[in-house]
Amino acid sequence: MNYSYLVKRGIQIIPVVFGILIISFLMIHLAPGDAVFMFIGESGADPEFEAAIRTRLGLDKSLFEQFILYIKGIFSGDLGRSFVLNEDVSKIIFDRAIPTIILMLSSISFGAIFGILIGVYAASKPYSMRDNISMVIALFLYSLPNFWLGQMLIIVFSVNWGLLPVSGMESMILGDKSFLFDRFTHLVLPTITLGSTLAAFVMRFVRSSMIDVLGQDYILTAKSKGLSERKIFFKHALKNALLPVITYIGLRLGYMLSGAVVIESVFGWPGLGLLMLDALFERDYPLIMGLFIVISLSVTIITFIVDILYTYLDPRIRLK
Amino acid sequence: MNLRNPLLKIENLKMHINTYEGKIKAVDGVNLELFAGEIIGIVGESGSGKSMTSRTILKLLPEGGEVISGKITFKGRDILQSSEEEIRTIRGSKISFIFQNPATFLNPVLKIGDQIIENIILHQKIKKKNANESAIRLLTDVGLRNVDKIIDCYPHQLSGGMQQRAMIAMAISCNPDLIIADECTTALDVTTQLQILNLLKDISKKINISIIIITHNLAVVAYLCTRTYVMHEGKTIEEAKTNDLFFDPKHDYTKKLLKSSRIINEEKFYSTEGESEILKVDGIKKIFRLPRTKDPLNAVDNVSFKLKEGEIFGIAGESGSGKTTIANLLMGLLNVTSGEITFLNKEINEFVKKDRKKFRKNIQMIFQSPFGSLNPRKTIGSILSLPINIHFKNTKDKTKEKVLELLTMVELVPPEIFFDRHPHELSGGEQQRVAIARAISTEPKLIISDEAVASLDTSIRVDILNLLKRINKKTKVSLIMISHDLSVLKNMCTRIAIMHLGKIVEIGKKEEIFLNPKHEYTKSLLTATLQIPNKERQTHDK
Amino acid sequence: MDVLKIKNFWKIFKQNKLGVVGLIILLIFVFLAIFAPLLARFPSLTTGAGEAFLNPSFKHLLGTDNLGRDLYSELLFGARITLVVSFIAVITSTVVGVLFGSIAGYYGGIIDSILMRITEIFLVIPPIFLALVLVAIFGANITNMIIVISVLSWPQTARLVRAEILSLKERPYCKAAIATGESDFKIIFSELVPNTMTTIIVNLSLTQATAILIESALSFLGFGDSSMVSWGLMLNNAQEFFRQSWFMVFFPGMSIFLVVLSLNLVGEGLNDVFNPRRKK
Repeated sequence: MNYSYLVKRGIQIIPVVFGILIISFLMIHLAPGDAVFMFIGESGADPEFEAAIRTRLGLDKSLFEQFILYIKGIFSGDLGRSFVLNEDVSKIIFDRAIPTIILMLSSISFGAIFGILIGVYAASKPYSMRDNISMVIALFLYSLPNFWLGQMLIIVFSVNWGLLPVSGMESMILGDKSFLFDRFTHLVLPTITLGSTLAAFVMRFVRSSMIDVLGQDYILTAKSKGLSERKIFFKHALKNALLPVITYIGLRLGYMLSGAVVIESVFGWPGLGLLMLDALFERDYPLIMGLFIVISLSVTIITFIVDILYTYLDPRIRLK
Repeated sequence: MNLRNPLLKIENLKMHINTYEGKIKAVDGVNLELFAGEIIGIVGESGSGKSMTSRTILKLLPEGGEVISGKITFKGRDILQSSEEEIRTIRGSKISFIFQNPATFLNPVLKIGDQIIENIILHQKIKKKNANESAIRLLTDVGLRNVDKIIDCYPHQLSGGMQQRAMIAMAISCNPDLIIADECTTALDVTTQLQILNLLKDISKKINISIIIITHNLAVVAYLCTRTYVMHEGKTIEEAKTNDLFFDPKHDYTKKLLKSSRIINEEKFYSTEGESEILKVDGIKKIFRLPRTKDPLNAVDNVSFKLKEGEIFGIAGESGSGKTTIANLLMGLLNVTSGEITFLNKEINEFVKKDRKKFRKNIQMIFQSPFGSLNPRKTIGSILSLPINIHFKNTKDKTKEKVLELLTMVELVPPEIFFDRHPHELSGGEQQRVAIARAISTEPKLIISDEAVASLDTSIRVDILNLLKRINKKTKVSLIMISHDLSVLKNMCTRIAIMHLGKIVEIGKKEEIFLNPKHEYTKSLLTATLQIPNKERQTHDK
Repeated sequence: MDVLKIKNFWKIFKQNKLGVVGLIILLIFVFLAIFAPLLARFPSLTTGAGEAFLNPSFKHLLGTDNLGRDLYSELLFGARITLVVSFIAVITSTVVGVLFGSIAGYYGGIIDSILMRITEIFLVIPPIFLALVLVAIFGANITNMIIVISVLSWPQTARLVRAEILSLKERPYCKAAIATGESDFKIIFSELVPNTMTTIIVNLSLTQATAILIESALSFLGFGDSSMVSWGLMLNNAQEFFRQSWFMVFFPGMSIFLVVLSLNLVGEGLNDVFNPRRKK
């Protein structure tokens, strides 16, 4: 196991984490208006409390010291308190995280599987009709504004045909439907909408990776041994081509969360995206910044884990 | 030798490749016969069609390839008329390939053992366990040790020589009748090359396998093959017993090829030296830190030598010996870790800092690959005008005049036409001439040539080397020739330094090096370097 | 053949039919945007111009929205915003990206490490999140939108250019240029960057496609400039009225899709010209 690579990668994410914290800190302090404002909001809290906040934030101290305090706070789990919802930010985020996680997992699975299947299909006969059509499909899919796709799907499947629920994560009244089925029907459209963009990118990536691999010298060697086309395709080429897909999907994580915000808005999906939008409308700055930090750091960490996974799978890196 | 029926017979084979830019006549009339137990060679320069011919034998045509006419018969079977399934039963089992660069020709994500046994399982239809035993036996037969560990290794964990042996094991795994070795030693260093060729020789004798050796290196053919075919522009133009080929060539092209190779080996040339010492290298070291493990790499380890005005000095070494690093250090593209380089009586770092322009004017470099050394977006005229404009104050007309002069000096005539061309419109040899013109344009005191002729065809090599000699004679510019090819250095240099693992192991006049080598490494390098049979060694002469 | 010469370029480009289709669609939209005031029947943002939720008719080519506004006119003016905002953002971000990318790629060392960290940070923060937070803090107007989109787009370009420069730097002609004594500035911008032109050009159209998607998404979420018509805003408006009129959703969205698609098609076409795949 190549530990040195692990450590090196781990060290690399520290500046990124730092960068995120610095950016969020700067945003708070660059905002027009007092930094306290960010914590109190417009609700006009009583002067005593305001004074307490000032001391706690250390606004009388230098910028640098404030930053240290800020970081300390975050690492101890204190993301501030939302005055709009009258709760700790960390608790709010924690409660609302699950719907987003569900949506992300199902969309990533859908997008990855669909994308890989079509990408491999397209690569099986490069530059042929099936390849060209697949790539055009991919092009169409990633040119689609995903919120529009969502809206159109709702109009067709929910409004017109009544097949699927219009919005939300669960029905108010279950009636005679099972719990799982209800959740499933609510999940279908958002998953397809969010997953289709990923599918498009994965399709193209897999296809080009496969074509790249099929042009490699070791494929000629395999042919010279008399192996069948099928065997060469699946045993020799596929493994090489699919390895980088994992990293690629990791790279798209940030963009997917980006899309999740919009999709949650379209479908009224009660996750972190919708929470963010509400927070923005309410000018709930502690919550806004808290969400920003949590999401960004989560993506960083997950990307790191994906990287580790990749190094484990690629023998060229796993063994020196 | 079975003289009755050839094992393999190729009759008037023609194969074309349809590309984006038109039709390429890759194979344009090849006739060949191979008998059981023979080792024959197919020799030719790049683009001669030798690789393509060999691939066609197994119907491994490239994208867009199409056989136009001809017949290939193997053990009585008509290859070109056979179906894909029938051919697949031959591939890997009756005829197998050994390719040039094992690093790219082995699948990086499959274990070595796996890649060997898949061949065995496919063709001999035996169980995996038995196949494993066969694999172990094969790997031992090709001279590898710690075989049970190697079975579980991935290709990148082995050295180049070991990888090639593994490929050979793969090729002989099903007891083929014929092995086609396509430039199989070109990517290896000289000592390993010899080992692999000896291995092939042994195998051929022991298991009675016929081998076709495809190479551009005449010396390899001289070493191994009993009969040789010469290919040029897709055609087999000559065929003879190897001895006859070298001493009694019939075709003009063959004669030209031999002549070029021999001149490189034989000519005795001495540069005219001046008195003053222009370069002094004193105990320099360059240590790199490997990116992943941070281990130190002593790329250059305590190297010292001196250079006089007008001298042509050679640095020989295989890849990894540190010779290119020295070039970069001398050019100021890298800094030494310790030690001192003095150029024109000034210490290099000082020189670069205080008088950068003068430094850059007086030391120039010619790189190996002509295809990367000229900016593809610029015209030749623009490329050559640049150094002149930087170092001399000229009017536009005067600069152009100088450029035309330079082009004439490197024999690119008429110069006006070349002035407006772009690099991609020129051949490899022509581009290299432009690179030389660029190097001499600043009227430097020292030119460093890093493998300047390695990528060029044999016939062009001689011309380029002669050009350099003429320039040395005319302008008294000193030359440092860096090469892995001892014959090139023997042709050009007065003194030669032999490098190995970052150190100079031996340095001296070329006669001493070649006739009386002192260091072990020098000796092994010389023995391993294959030579073409000399004219003096035979009785009848043309 | 030098494909950066117009004559040669067009000869190859027109062989890619999809690319040509994309170009035509793009030009149509540009035309519509430029001549919007002339082509629109009704000045935009006037309420009560007609009845709400009308179907497409001769008077209202694409129907009306919930406030009776003419969708067709809205669409035309929306085109202006979309195209202008994305275009300015793309030019800005490309210039910045090329500058940073080439300098980082050439010099390496600390400058390069810093650039790589910055681009990683931008890769990790979901773009919409960052955009929303910035807009929330600094206000939602056209200028800020352009700045925000530029900020989101330049790291990708920088990364691309840096990668190219890194590999070109190793080419002998670059080393030869150093050896000749050319100044660093000239080497970067006169020898290396021109050789990355093809990559930059392809990237331009793809970046613009992304920019339009971001701009529409921001407007859709309600964080665009609400004083101007934009397609995203129209979709935001339509969110409540699925049952009454699907035109309100269909036309603006289709417009976004078509413009983005055309840009991507042109990008593909450009790619085919500059990096032809060698196949009969």
